[in-house]
Parts: sequence; structure tokens; C-alpha cells
Amino acid sequence: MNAHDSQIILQRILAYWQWSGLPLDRDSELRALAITRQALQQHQLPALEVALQATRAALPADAATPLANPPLRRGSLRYGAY
Amino acid sequence: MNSQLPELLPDAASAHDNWRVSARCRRLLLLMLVLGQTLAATWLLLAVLPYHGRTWVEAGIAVLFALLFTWLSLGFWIALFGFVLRRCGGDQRSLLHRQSAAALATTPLDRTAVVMPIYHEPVARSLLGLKAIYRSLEASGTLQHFDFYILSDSRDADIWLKEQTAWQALRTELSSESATQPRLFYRRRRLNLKHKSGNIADFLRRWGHEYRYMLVLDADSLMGGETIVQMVRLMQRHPRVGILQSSPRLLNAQSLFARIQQFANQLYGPLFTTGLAAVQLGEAAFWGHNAIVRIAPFMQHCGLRRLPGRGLFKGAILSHDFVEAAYMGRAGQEVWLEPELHASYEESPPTLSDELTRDRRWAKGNLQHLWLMLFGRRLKLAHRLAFLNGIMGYLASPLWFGFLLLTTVEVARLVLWPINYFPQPNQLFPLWPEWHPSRALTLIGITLTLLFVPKLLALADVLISGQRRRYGGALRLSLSVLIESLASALLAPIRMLSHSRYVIEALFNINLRWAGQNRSGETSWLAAIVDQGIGSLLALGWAAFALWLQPMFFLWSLPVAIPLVLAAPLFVLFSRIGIGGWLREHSLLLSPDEQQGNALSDALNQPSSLPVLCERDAFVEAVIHPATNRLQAGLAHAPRARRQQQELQLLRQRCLELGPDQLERAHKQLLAEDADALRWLHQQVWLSPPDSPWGRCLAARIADGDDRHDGVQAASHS
Repeated sequence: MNAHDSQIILQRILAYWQWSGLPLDRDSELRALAITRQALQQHQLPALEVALQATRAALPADAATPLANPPLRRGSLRYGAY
Repeated sequence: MNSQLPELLPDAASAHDNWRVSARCRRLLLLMLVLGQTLAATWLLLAVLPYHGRTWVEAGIAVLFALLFTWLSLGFWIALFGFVLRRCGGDQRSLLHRQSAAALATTPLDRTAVVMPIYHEPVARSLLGLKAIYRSLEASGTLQHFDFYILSDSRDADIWLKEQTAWQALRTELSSESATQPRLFYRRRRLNLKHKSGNIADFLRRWGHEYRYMLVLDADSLMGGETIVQMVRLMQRHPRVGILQSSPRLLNAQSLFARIQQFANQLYGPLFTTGLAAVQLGEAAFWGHNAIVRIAPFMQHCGLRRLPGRGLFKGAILSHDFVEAAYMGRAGQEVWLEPELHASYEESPPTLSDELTRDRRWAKGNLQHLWLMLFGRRLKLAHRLAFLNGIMGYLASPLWFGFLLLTTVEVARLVLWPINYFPQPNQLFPLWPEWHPSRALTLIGITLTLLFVPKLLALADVLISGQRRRYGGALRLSLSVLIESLASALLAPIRMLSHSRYVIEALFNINLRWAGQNRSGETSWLAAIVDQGIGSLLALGWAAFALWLQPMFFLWSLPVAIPLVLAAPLFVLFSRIGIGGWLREHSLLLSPDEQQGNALSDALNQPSSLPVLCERDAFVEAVIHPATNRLQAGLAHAPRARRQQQELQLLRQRCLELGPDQLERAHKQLLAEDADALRWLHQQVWLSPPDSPWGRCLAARIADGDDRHDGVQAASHS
């Protein structure tokens, strides 16, 4: 096992979770270590890809993007004469 | 929409007719005073001139003098009106005085949109201002009546991505202490038709029918919740009022230039706005921000067509606000300026360079109004005069320049040419040139009176009303007036030369190259010399010529020539934040808001994640940060047509291989506007090898930590 690879995978998993709003505690760190180990132990796919799939799967479903605008209620402007 | 409109009160109905009578009387009085004073001064000038205006040069001098003197006299009498009214407890004809405070306080509110159009503005400052306004309205307990809109016209992906991230962060901050989601919306136009007026029109077409009123803000506006509520209530009580304009005070000045502007605005502003409002009454101008607008008549009458003329008078109207006020007036709606609405603020340009860049745009916009002033159908005379007022704001500079030119020609002719005793054709008797120094001194005295008496009146107003402590005490206040007067005397010739150039550029519809705007805070020596070098050389040449001609004329030229020769050092000096800070420490150029503290201004410095978020590279954040990527992709375009998709696929592949720094601005824009491209890049970047451009970028970003928490913590600690 390459120590450098594992470090990068672990770093990215934790950053991804933190930036997605998941609190980082001992449990999440242990889970991240487990995902890293599994990703590095399989040899069918690149380890990073496997790890990030599992990282995203561990997150709760995405919250919907907030509504940027209220529903449209179309009107028109009348133009003044010159 | 809430239909609980109060019935038009009987006193309001009679006041409707009364103000027109008062307006006519006041305007007539003003006209007589200004014309009388101008005629007397022009007569005195003719008496001073050697040939008493009988040569074409002297006739030109007299005409230009009369025009410029009218302009000065108007300002003088407006300030005097303002002084008298303020000493009498305010204008009893104003909207605010038409009902008791208790009656106003019980007037029900109606749905109001608070709109902030932005275009490449400092994102964090603009949104923190909006946050301060939101919190202030929340504190007033009336938040449920207001919706907030950020209306962006920004074209640069780095800026609008930042705006969208900041909008979401602001929503999070506002909802953290509230049970309900804030009604704060963000809309960005893809096509920026008709600049700011087009942006507002776009909002009105989409959501205008949802609201009875619209409070328009600038990106640097700050308004107190109580003031906004008061404005809505005034609109509710006076249904004929289409636009109610507050008089914004300047705030948060740092540099010497901005502090001088702020001091002048806070000390002299109330006199001028009170006087102006008293003359305009229900036919005032709209300044485009810090004002409330009745939406239905605005939508009905204020769409702005493109100008149909040629050159300057063809295309979109640049300065839309005066035109909209004139159209509202034509539609029978009243437009009021209310100087006694407090807690309405904006910021001064930080440097003279920034102010002149803005003036270049405004000069063109105001000169466009000439078309409407002359050819606009059924516009009210008061609004035509408001156009003229705006035009003269810039046209006065080339007139002054022309006056200086003609006086130079006159002196040169007298010194270099033999005396002409028969300047007019078919003249029977010789005309002896005369010189009356005492009359010349009287004329100078009158002109200086017009310039400086309004300042002294403002000083007296503060001293009499016992507000001297708010400006640092009587001594420091007087000293500050001296500093401001000296500064305005130094800046006037520099503004005159620049404005003259802008007017000529605008009239001939040409765009000369101009040094770029400095937004870094202070003006560099190089930028100042490049910007002002030609003007300084011109002034130096003029002063040398004057010295060669006549030592007395040289002395006369010095008040104009010295500031122009020293323009570059003055630009640098006035932009210095350190000097502004030093003066503040010594309680000079102090404003009441600084002395007493200002809750809105303080709110700008409350802990927030926005400043840190806005320092980040917005495109990198949109690609890397999972939450930001979800937001940006959610707000971006849905997948496009197949052909565009193929181009985008090539582009995103290139972006992934080369990294964010190698991307052209236009390409960045295309990727940032496409939801699929953003999602794909996000997926791929997290899988990128550590030694790839994006891999390095990601590692650096991870090392930096999470802004959303760090930013708040850092701000809290500071």
C-alpha cells in the first residue's frame, strides 16, 4: 500500500464530507479510513474513483437548490412617447 | 396584494392643490431673485470691461458670465431658502409634515420589493449592505411586508459566480437566527439590454405585479428599517405620489477625498436639499436609488424607448432616473424629495479619479437629456428645468473654460494690439477703453459671496441648532469648513478641465482613451501623472503666457492655474487613506455619524463569511467545493442543444487538462453557465492526479480549510 496514495484519498474524503456539511468526528474518520482501505485493496478500478463513489454515497441526499426567484407573474411595461 | 389602502385624507386632498400654488409662488420668487442678481452682476461686468461689451470678445465674455452667474446664483438662493426653512422648523408643505407622527405610525403597510441592481460591484460590500438593511427591517418588526431582490447585470463569470455564492451564504446567515427562510432572491440577466433601467424593467416584467411598491437601492446604499417603513407609509397615505426620493448622506469615507466629500455632504447637503425640495415640491427629480416607487404607474408610463436622434441622441438612455421622474409627472403622478427622511446613506467614490470616471458616464447621460428637454412631449416645465439643471452640472465646465479663453484673448488683444477707438462699424465717436479696478473688486466680492455664503449658512445652522458637538466642536467644525473650502477651490479647476473634455467627447460622440479607473483605494503617482499630465502642461503654458502678457493677469490666472499644474500631486494626496485617518483622529472633517456611531455602518462589520468567500477564485470554488458546485449547477443553464454540447465537451476536457489558470475568460463564462459542464468538471477534478493542475489546485484548497466556518470565526475574533 502506497502511503502517499492513502494520504491523498483520506484527505479528499474528509474534505469532501466537511464541505458537504457532514460534521467530522471520530466515527466519520473511522469510516473514511475504512473506505480508503477498501478502495486500495480492490484492483478493478482506480482507487480514487472507488473511494469517491463511496464518499458521495455516504452523504445524505442533496438538499434542493434554493429557489433563486419566486414564480413568475408576467406583466409588461408601457413606453412613454418622446 | 394587500388592498387595505387608507382612504385619501381630507387634509391630503387639499394639500394636493395647495402645493402647486406654493410651488408657483416659490419658483417665481426664485426666478426674480436669480434673474435680478444676474442682471445686476452682468451690468457690473460690462462696466468693468474696457469696451463695455461692444466688441465680440467682450460680448462673448458677458454672455458666458451671465450663464455661469445664473448657475451660481441659483445655488446661492436655494441654499438660502433651505436655511430659512430649516430655521423655521422645516417645510410645512413637505409630505412628512402633512400628518402627525402618530397617524403615520398607524398607517398599514403593503407589499414592497427591495431591489438592488448590481453590475460588477464589490460583492461582499454590496451584500453586507443588503444584510444590514434586512436586519434593520427585521428589528422594526415589519419584515413580512418586504421581499429582497439582487438584480445582477454582471458579465464576468468570476464576479457573478461570486455573487451567487455570496447570495447563498447570506441566505444561510439570515436564516440561522430565524425560523423562516429569508425572502431574498437573486436574478442575473443574460442579456444586459438598456443598462440599469433595463435591469429594473426586467424585474418589473417578471415580478412587478406582485408588489405595490419598489424600494430601489444602489450597490453602496444603506437604509434604516424605520426610514423604509416611513416611506412606505407616506406612499400609502398619499396615493398621488409616484416616487418618493430620500436624500442620502455619505458614509464610511476613508480617504482624504472621500472625507471631504462626506463632510460637505453632511454639513451643506441638508440646506441645499431642503431648499431644492421646497422649490420642486411635487415635481422633484428621481436620483435612481434610495427612493420608493409606486409600481403600477411606473410600469404603465415609464418604459424607456431608445432615443431616435443621431450620435449622442441615439440609443439607450443612460441616465434614466430623471426621465422616469418626468414621465411619472406627465402621467399625473407626483415626485417628492423628502430631506427629513433620515437613515438613508450611500458612499462617496474613494478618489477623485473614481469620481471623474463616474462623471464621464453621467456627463454623457445628462447631455442626452437635451433631446428630451427640447422635444419631449407634454413634459412638465419643472421636469424640463430639472433636465436643464442636470445638463448645466456638466455644461458649466466648458462654459467656464470658454470664459477663461475669451478673457485671455481680451487681455492679449489689449496688450499686443494697438487700441481700437472704433470697435463697431459706422461708429461716429471714438470709444475710450476704461478700467475700473473698484468695480472689478466688487464683482469678485459678489462672486465669492455666492460661493462661500452657503457654506457659512450651513455652519451657522449647525451652531444655532446646538449640533456643534456632533462635528467635533465649534473650533474644529470651523477649521473643517476652511479645509473643505480650500479643497473645493483646488478641485474645481481640475473638475472643470475634465468635465469640459467629457462634454466635448459626449457631444461629438467620440471616445478618447482615458487612463483606467483605480479601484485599489489610492491613486498611484504614475496613474496621476499619465491622467493629468496634459492638463498640467496646458495650465503651465497658460500661466507663463499670462505672466508674459501682464503681471496682473498672471495673478488673476493663479487660482485656476495652480491647482491644474499641481493636479497629479493633488490626485495622489487626496486619495491617501492615511491623511483621511489622521484628520479623523484629530476630529477634523468629522461627520455626526462618526461622532455618534451608526448602527447600519456598524452592521457592515459584523462577523460574516462573505468577505472571505469573496476573496476566493469563484470559478475554482464552483468546480471544487461540493456545496458550491451544487448551487452553481442548480442556477446554471439546463443542458443545451447537441451542437453546443459538443463544443462544451471539448472545452471542459481542455479545462480539465490545462487547469483553471489557462482558461480564457469567454470559455470560463461558457463553462460556468452550463450545469452539465460544472457537474462533470466537479466529478473529474476530485479524481484528478495530485500532480495535475487541478490536483494541485485541490490540494491547495484543502490546505486552506473551509471558508464558511473559518470566515465567520476570523471575523468574530477580529
